[in-house]
Amino acid sequence: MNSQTNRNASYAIANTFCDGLLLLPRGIGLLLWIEMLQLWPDLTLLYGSASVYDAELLPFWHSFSGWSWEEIFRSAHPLWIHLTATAYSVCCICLVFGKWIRYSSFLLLLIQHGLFMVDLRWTYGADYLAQTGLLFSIFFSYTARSESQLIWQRKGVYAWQAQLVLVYFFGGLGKAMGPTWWNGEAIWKAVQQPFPSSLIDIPLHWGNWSICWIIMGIGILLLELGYALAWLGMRYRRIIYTSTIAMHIGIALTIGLYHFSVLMIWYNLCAWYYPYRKQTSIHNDNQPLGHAEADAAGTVRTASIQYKERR
Amino acid sequence: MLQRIGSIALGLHFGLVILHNIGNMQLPSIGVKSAVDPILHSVQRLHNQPVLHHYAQLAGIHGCYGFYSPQVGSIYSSRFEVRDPRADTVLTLSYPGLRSTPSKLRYCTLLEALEGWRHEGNQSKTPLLARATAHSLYKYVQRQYPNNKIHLLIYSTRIPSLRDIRSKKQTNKLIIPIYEQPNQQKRILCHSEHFL
Repeated sequence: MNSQTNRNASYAIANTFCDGLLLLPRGIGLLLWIEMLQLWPDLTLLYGSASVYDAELLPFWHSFSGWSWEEIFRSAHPLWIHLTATAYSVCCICLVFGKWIRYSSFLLLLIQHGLFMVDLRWTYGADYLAQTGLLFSIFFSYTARSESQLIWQRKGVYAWQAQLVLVYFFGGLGKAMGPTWWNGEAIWKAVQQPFPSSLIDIPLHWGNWSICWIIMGIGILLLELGYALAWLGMRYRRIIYTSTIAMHIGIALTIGLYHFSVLMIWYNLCAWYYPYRKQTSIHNDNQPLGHAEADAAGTVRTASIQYKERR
Repeated sequence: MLQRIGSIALGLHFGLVILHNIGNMQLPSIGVKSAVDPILHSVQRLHNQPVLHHYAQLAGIHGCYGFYSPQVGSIYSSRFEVRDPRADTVLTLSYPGLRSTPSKLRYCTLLEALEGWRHEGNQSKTPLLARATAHSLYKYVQRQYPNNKIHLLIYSTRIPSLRDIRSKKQTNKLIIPIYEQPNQQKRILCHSEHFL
C-alpha cells in the first residue's frame, strides 16, 4: 500500500514536471487568437488585392524559401483572407481547449508560416518566437501514456529551457557588442521610441538620472547573458524568471509590445515555473473533483490540488 | 531508437539556432572582426543551405535573437495630409487606413525594414524599394480620397541622448523629415510636440 502511494507520488511529480509543455500550446493559442482578432478589421488592408501594398513589390518581400498565402489572396476573392483567418482562429481555439493539439499546432504553424514568415512585410520578432513555440507543441505537448513518452517529454522540458537560454543569451551577447547598452543610451532610446501603443510615457527630463538608465541597461544585459544560471537551482531560477518577467512587463508598458511581452512571460512560466511545482496533495481518483459529502448540508466543497515549488 | 533519433534532431535544432545567431551577429568594428570574418562567412554559407534554411524558417529560428542589439535603431513614421480643395479642410492620417494597434505596429516594422530611408540629405538617393513602398502607400490613400490632394511625409524622430539632456544640448524630440511625396517642400526640423 505504502509503495503504491510512493509510486503514485513520483508519477505525480514526473507529471507536474511536464505541466509547462502541456500548458504551452494553450497560452500560445490564446495569444495568437487575440492577435488575429485584433488584426481582423485590417486584414484586407494587409493582404490581398485591396491591400495598401502594391502587388508588383511583393517579390522583394518574399523570403527565398516557403510559400506565401499572399500569392493566393492576390488572385482570389477577398473572402479567402477571412476564411484563412477563421481557420487560424479555429486552430487557436482548439489549442486553448486542449483539443487535437498536435494537428492544430501543425496547421497553425503552416498558416502562421505562410502569413508572417514567408511574406516579410508584416512580420516582427514575436512571430518567430510563436513559430518556435508551435513547433515544440507539436513534438512535446501530449499526455504521456508510457515510460518512453514520459522520458521524451522530460527531454522536451529541458529542450524548451535550452531554447529560451539561447534566445536570451544571444540577445544579451548582441547587446554587449555595442557600447550603448553599457552606457544606458540604448534602453533610454528604446523606452522613448514612438510606438503606437505604449501605456506609460517616460518624460524626457528623466534622462537627467543617467545612472538609473546605466544600471537598467547593464542589468538587462547581465540578466540575458546569465539566463542559463536558472539551471543552478531554485533560488537562481526564481531570481531569473521573476526578473525576466519584470523586464517583459516593462517592455509591454513602456514600449507597447504587449503580444511579444505576454508571449515571452508565458514561455518563461512554462519553462521555469510550472515544471517545478510540487504536487503536495493528490486527489483521490475515485472521487470526482467538486464532490459533495453526505454531511455537507448541500454545500459543495471544491477539491483542490495544492502545489509548492520544489528544487 | 526513436529516442535516439529525437535527441539527434534536438541537437541539430540547437546547432542551427547557434549557427544562425553566429551568422547574423554584428561584430564591433575593431580588429577582432577581420579575424572572425572568414569563420562567419563559412557559417553564413552553411546556414543558407536550402534544406537547413527551410527548416529554420518553419521553426522560426532563421533570424537572430538580437532584438535591439547592438543598438536601438530609428523608428520611422508616416503622415498623410489629405487636403480637400473645395471645403478647404485638411485631414491628417498617421497610417493608411489601419485601425488596430497590432496592424499599426506591423506597419511600423515595415517602414523600419526599409533601411534605405537613411539618406537624409538627398531624397533621390533613397533606394528603389523604399521609394516604391512610399509610392504604393501614397497611391492607396489617393484611391481612398480621389478628389483630394495628398501629401505623404516619412519621418523619423530624433530622441535626445542622455548626454544631450544632461548638457541641455537637445531637450526635445526632433522630427526629421526623410521622404516626401510629392517632393516639393524644403525640409526643416521641428519639435515633435508641434507636429501632428
